[in-house]
Amino acid sequence: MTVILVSSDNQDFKVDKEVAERSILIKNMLEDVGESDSPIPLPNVTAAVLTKVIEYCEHHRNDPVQVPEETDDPRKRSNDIEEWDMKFMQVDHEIILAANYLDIKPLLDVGCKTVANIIKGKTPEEIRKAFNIVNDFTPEEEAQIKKENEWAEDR
Amino acid sequence: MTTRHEALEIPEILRRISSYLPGPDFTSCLQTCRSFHTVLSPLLYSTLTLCPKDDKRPSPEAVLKYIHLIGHIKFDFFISTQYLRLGFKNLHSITISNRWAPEKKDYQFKKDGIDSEILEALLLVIRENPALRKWTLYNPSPRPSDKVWRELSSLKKTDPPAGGQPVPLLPGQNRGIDILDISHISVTQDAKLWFLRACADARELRVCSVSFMVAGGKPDNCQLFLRPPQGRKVEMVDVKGYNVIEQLMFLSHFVEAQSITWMSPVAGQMPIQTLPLPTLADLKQIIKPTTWPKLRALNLTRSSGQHIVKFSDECIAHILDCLPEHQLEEFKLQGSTFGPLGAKALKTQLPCLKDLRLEPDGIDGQSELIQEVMESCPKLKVLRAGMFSVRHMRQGKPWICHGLKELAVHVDLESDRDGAAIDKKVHKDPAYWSKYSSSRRYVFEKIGKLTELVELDTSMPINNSQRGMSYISLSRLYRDPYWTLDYQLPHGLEELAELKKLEKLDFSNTLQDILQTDLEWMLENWPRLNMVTGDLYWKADRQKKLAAFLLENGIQIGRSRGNK
Repeated sequence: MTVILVSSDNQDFKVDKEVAERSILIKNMLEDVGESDSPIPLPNVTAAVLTKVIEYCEHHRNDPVQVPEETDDPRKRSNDIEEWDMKFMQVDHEIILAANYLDIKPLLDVGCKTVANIIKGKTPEEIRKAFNIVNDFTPEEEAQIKKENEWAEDR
Repeated sequence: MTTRHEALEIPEILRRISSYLPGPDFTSCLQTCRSFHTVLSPLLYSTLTLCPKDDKRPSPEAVLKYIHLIGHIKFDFFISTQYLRLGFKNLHSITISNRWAPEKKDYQFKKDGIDSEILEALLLVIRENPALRKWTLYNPSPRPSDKVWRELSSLKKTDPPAGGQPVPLLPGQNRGIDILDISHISVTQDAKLWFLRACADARELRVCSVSFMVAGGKPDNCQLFLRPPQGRKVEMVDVKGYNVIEQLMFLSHFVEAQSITWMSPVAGQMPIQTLPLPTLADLKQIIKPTTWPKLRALNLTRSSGQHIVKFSDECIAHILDCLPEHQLEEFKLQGSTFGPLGAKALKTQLPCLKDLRLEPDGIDGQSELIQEVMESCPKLKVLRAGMFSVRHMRQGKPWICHGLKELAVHVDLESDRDGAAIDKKVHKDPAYWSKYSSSRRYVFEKIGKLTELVELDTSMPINNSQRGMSYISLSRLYRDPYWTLDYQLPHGLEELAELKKLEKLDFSNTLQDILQTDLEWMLENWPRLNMVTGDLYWKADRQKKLAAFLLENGIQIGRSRGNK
């Protein structure tokens, strides 16, 4: 059975129901709508991003459904991303936003791990450069924060 | 390159990203900009851990700055006063321990402040943190004074109901700690009343290795409750100062209890244990059908190697009979006899039983019960028990416990031998071998249907009590594999092919003759296997090779336990 997803710029995408349901948001919408054939609007996702998201879901359509994490391990590793996924993520951060909105946890995790890998090893100034962040601390404030949180470096 | 910071502006996404960052990178993010700092500092400061051994801990000034974020503090009393006085207001849980008692040479861990100052600071924290309702105390030093217990026993819940009008407090209602977890403490005479009241008011109570110092060696009446205990979950292990009957009476007051775990006192330990052990008549006075109307879990445990008070079969049966039907989900019994009367009383609970753990108790003692459990407990998730005979498997109905995750029984194929004599020449007889093999295949077929199994343990007791020898020595004596489950392909191992979730396999104290092909089959068919326990072959050289093969493939070799 197929469903029709409509992106924010009004492009239609025909997808297998099983693939679309990798998104919990879409899955819940389909349950509410029932057997109706009406297309599902996704006003927060552009066509370009939706294409990539669908590509991810197609590739992972047979993965077991993830169980929600029960405990939070502060030392989660980020070096276990599948090769295919790594190449996939090089494209666009908007995918992370889309994965968050559509509630596709595995895709969100991959995106977050990728960004974490970019952050690793960088000084605060380098992080700002990488992500175009403005430094709104005074030099004194910045030094103070650095000092008072020094203890956390062994986390 | 497109700017990527939009995703980072969403707090949940930023928090998720930061969970993959090790310490130095996390702190770098904190320094990046104000919004990162605001989103990420709660992750760092929601729990404050102060340990004397760590040089690196936030300074009191830093703590003061973030103090509104701190919900849980975890510390040794030794370094506490300067922090305790900082003015925490948002604490919901506290852990006080004394695990790192400084030795004389650790001069830098000089205790900060005298005992009374520390306790005063603690009292302040209790009064200023109305939401502080989760207390964990492990060997705290200094020992909390009676004032501290008094304060803890008169906490009032301050969340007003929606609508604003405060409801007048009924006795026993809206009061007290949510979780009280105490271990390795001694309670003085003057603190005792308040301590017991604090225990009575806790929703979840865990009391472990607590000694009550009773004046003059005379037992006293511990029924000093002016209100009934509130605990829904109660754990009492190794409590000294009250004898068995007194402890049981204490427990019998927990009318709200859904789960009770109790290790009765070690028999005959202190001269104070003057009252006799409870007889059935005593028990009938203490435990009645109205005692625990909400009980879903009952664990009567012991520490390994300790001899505790053993309740007789009729006593256990009486306790089970007093519980409402179709309500008990968890039942663990160690150290007491579980015989036919107990088994009969357990029947009314079979439809809802999820977790059953009985200590192995002689040959065949539990076998009929185990079969009954397997064929009558649809919700069963864990079963750990003693001997399970093939004879009872064949006589009984098909197993319905398809959700079973952990199975640990001594599988006994002896009964299939129908008393045939053990004869050294018999192993040359093909008929013997085919019967022996078909028994194993039969058992594997049945176990193979339990596709949710995560842990399978068919180890044998290290000493077969009735025969006085282990299965391994018996097997070697007669120079043939004794009638135990052999995990080998010719004997039906492939019947277990559907156990795709299997992670742990234990066949300790059984004589195995495993080949590399069998291990390869296991690796191929059990993708989640991570631990194998037991000797793969009784001769050291092949055992080593096979063990090395497993280790290469990421499987840990577990250590055999003695008696289960």
